[in-house]
Amino acid sequence: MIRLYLTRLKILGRDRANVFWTFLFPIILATLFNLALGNLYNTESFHTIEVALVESDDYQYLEEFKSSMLEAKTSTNGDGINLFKLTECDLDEAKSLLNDNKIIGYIQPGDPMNLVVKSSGIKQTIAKSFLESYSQTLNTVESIGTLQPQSYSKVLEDISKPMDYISLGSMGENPPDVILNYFYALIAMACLFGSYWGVKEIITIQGDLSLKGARINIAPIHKMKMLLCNISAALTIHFIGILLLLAYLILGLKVSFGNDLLYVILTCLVACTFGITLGAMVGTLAKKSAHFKDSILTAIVMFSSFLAGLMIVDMKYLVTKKTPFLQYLNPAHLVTDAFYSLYYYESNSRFIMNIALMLCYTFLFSFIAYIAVRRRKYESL
Amino acid sequence: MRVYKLYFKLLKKAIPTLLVYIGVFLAITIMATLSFQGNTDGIFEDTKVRTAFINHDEDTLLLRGFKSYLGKSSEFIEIDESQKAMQDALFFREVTYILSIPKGFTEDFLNGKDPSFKSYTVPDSATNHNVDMAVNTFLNTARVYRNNIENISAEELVGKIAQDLDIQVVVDLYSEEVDKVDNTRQIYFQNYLVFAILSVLILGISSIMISFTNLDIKRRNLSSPISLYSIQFQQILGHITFAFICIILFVLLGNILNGQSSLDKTSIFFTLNVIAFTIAALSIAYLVGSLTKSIDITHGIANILGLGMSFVSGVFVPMEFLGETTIQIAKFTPAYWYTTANYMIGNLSNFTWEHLSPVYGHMLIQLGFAIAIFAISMVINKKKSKEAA
Repeated sequence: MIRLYLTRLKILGRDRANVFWTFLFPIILATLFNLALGNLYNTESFHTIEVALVESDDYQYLEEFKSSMLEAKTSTNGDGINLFKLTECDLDEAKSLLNDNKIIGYIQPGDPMNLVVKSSGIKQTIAKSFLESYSQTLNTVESIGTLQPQSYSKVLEDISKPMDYISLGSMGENPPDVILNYFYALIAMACLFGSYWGVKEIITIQGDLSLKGARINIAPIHKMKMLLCNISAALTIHFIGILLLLAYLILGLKVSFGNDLLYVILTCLVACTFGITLGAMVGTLAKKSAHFKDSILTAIVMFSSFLAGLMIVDMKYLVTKKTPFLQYLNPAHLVTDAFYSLYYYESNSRFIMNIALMLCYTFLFSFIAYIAVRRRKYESL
Repeated sequence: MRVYKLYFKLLKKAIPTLLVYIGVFLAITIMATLSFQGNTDGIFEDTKVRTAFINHDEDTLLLRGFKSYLGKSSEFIEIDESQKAMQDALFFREVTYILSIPKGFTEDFLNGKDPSFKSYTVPDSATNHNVDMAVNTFLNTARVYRNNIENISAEELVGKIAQDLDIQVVVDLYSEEVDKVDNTRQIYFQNYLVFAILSVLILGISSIMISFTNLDIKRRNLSSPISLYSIQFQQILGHITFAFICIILFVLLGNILNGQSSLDKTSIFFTLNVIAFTIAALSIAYLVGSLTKSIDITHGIANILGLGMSFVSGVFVPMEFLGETTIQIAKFTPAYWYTTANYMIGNLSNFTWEHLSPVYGHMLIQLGFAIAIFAISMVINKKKSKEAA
């Protein structure tokens, strides 16, 4: 048996180009992910907001307003970038600037302040919040000014040094982090793409699907034994690929997987097996050509990864909210969730549930594949 | 046109496979667009933050006043106060913000100390910033009163703050046209097509092209009295037909989803842009089909190009969030020019040459990519077929 396993391993390994690329693809993809997500929620990616200020003589605090807009920064500790870039102009010019998308909106100062924008968005909201807090502060200054005019300078001093009344609490060792979900979903997808290996093994062993299968069918070896060896060989190669990806994510991209590396590796192993048996099952169930089987698998894996948040992270939460049963069925969700609960929770109950479900499905898929493959006899090939 | 006819025989055989691909990528596009929570009614609106307000202090006037102020930007959700429940609530996004008020906060604050609230958040959520702002604005205003007006009563304090903070900044939507529609959702859909079109074309076209790479078939084709260029040309014609069918499907779907007629100006430009991008995607698919011999590798490449380009050029992650370097890299892909053109088209409010010329520019760049990539693949194809023969 060991010889069968080793021979199969050699056969699979000999297709160097194929192995090389299947190992390299997820790594390239991870690099691209990192490129797109690396800067997310990082102030470096903040671009100063361009707004126009419509000149108006009616507004008595125009100068103060202007200077406070120009002084606003992204952070208070001195090295922040300016929030706004102001263009002063008259109304017509402001309109044409907005029309050309040179600015996100223009401000007509006054009481109340008026902000004119073309669409809603993050920058527009920031501008609105700024105007609000400016008007609010102005109210306070005026109100104290009438109550106690003598403390005017003290008021200004108090206002110029705002306090931070929020301290970040932490729960557990690792803070929730949605960026991680993208990488977890990526590794889930890579594991599940192991299903291509599963299909391949089923095709090589079925007499009606490949010449090699026909040859194996007349050999005096138990077919199940052969299949077991072949699948183990495919699993070995697939698992090595995933470990390389994992190493790249942890060492190269510094993606955090929590503190229990052994459990992470265990999850990968279970997920790889899960993926391969999924492929084996689809391989036996879907009649038609190998191309068609592959396309079904691509569809299953892509869609399942999509629901697990590979493209839009919120999808994962929408699914748990709108269709809760799906989270126990969706393969990519189980894998992604296993990684995330390892990272996030201190207790292992959620992790164990995910692993247990994956193992159940693995056995179910293997059983279905087994039923479909066993005792197949061919009259003629 | 024998090769062209053969192409359709192959296409017919591949229909189940192609349908699976088209089906799944369309499903993803539809679900993504439907899940997009854009405001389609054209009104400028902030979204409310789902906040859990956990008060360990007493129910004091100051905190009551604060809670009612916070209510403007937050929707309060009750959760259990145990750590497990709090972790779960954040994990499943029942709330994105947990605000915990320590015991004795009011007393400390009124006595001139500045204690702080504890916050537990889902860190990505941009709207959480609104809660931070609300807390700091309210308490800073309170602090100014507390420091400057001696012996101010809690009641007076809360009243003053409420009065000061009761400000509405008027936000107007501007457009020269009277009935301006918000195209955010449409842009979102159009951008998502990057992923769908690239994946479907690469997977579809290469699964057909691989049938031509079989050595025996190739030899047989080359020995026929049809010139190599004619074969290639007819193949490409076949690919174009396939791509054309895809475009029709996608555009129709977009119209159904967004409930707009395909005849208004914006939709026409979106369609033109999709056509430009499809041509570029077609050239990429053709290159991939010419380079690879194994279907396994094609799957991988389709995956990388589809997902990778979408991530880098602002389909899945909004362009504002991408770093400078990423955008520089994205400029080397047609997808970047496609998505930026979509943003421009969606925000167009008048269709003069001056406003349209950058849109045309971006479309031309996409076509430029297409021509360059086609040229490369033709050369590769020619070389390969000579080698094999």
